[in-house]
Amino acid sequence: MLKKIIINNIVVLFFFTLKAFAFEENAKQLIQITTENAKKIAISSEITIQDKKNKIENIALNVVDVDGLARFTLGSHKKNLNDNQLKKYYKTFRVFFVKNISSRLQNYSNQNIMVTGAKKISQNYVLVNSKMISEKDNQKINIDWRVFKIKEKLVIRDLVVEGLSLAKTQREEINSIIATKGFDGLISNLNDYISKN
Amino acid sequence: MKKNYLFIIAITFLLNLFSSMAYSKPKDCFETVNRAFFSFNMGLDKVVFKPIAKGYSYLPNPVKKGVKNATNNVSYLVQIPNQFLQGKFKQGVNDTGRFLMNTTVGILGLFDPASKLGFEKNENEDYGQTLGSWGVGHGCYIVLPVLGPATLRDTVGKVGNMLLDPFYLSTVGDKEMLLGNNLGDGTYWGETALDKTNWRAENISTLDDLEKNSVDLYASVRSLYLQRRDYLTQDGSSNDEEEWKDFK
Repeated sequence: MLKKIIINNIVVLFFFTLKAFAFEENAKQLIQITTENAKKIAISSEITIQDKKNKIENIALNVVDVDGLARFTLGSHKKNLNDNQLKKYYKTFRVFFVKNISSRLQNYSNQNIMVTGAKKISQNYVLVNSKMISEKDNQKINIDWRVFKIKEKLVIRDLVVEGLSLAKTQREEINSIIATKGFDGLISNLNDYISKN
Repeated sequence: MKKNYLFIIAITFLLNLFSSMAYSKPKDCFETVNRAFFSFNMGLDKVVFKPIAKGYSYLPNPVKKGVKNATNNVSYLVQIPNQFLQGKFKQGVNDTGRFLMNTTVGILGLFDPASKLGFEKNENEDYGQTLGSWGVGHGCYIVLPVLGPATLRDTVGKVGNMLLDPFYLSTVGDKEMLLGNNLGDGTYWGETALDKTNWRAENISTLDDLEKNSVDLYASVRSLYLQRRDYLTQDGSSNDEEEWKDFK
């Protein structure tokens, strides 16, 4: 009887560990595949700049939890906004984010991303470590990715380049605009950016 | 004697003031003035620094590489004492070896034979980071005219980086600290100008990209500066995971 209980426990532990390990491995794979796909698009000479932008925007929408990021960027201001304002913000932020990310990634061409490791921080959160290696001078830059499991789907919520978090920087910007210009000023600033890009 | 006593009291007061702010989020206490200086600095960059950096970037790569090597080598005179002050003895010994090797065999640091011989490059250290590693908080965020973003702690650090730098002491003023010689003020300011120009030239596209993609450039630069300083002071470890762990 005791033997059976021990064996059962070992089997449960084995599958539990395997499942946890799979989360980290899947998160690493998500980053490797996503960055390879983004690079293929960025260096392609067969598609127009507008097509490149559209394709990168699609990738971003597919792998980034844009609504989660929008919530994060509002910070403590979220509780001061009503439902209509929140809806308006999420909608505008979504367009702003994809324009922003595709603009930043357009110059991404002569670098390779190599995933180097992953650390499980909580049940639904893994920090994936990678290095961006420049083909020109072999310079290495550390990039960490915050990958979350939401409803069994893996999504990216932040990327951290040499300690500089994209989400944190955007939160500072959004909070600063709300503090100086209010909610309407924020929407107007985001729309300005969208119309220029 | 009385002067030294007052100096010690002033330093103790400042350290106490900063220590009380340790690990708290730095406040932008003078935002209106900071934004004005930030606009001034951006204008100055557009008219003076960026055009010079663009011109510099056309120089042949070996020349730029030599300038970068030599200015990096001079910076070891600030980096090495700070490694020892932070208890990083292994890095301190390594960088002392790098400095001696590159200054002699590498002809005043123009070449980097130390890397080829296996002396690893370490992250920069300065007096601001040393104060941070001792538990001194940032204090208020400030934008200095011409010099750019800083905090109260880093401003004190910047003063240390200059006044305690053996290169500064053996060039600026009339002290003869280098085997009875003084290299002259121009040597120090020339080296500083080359160092800053090289940095600006290396970051032309990064800063253009940041300017283009920020909805509030001032807030963006402030955030990036503070994150970078924390990252360097904490040697790459981060306090952010707790916040993300609980984020729904």
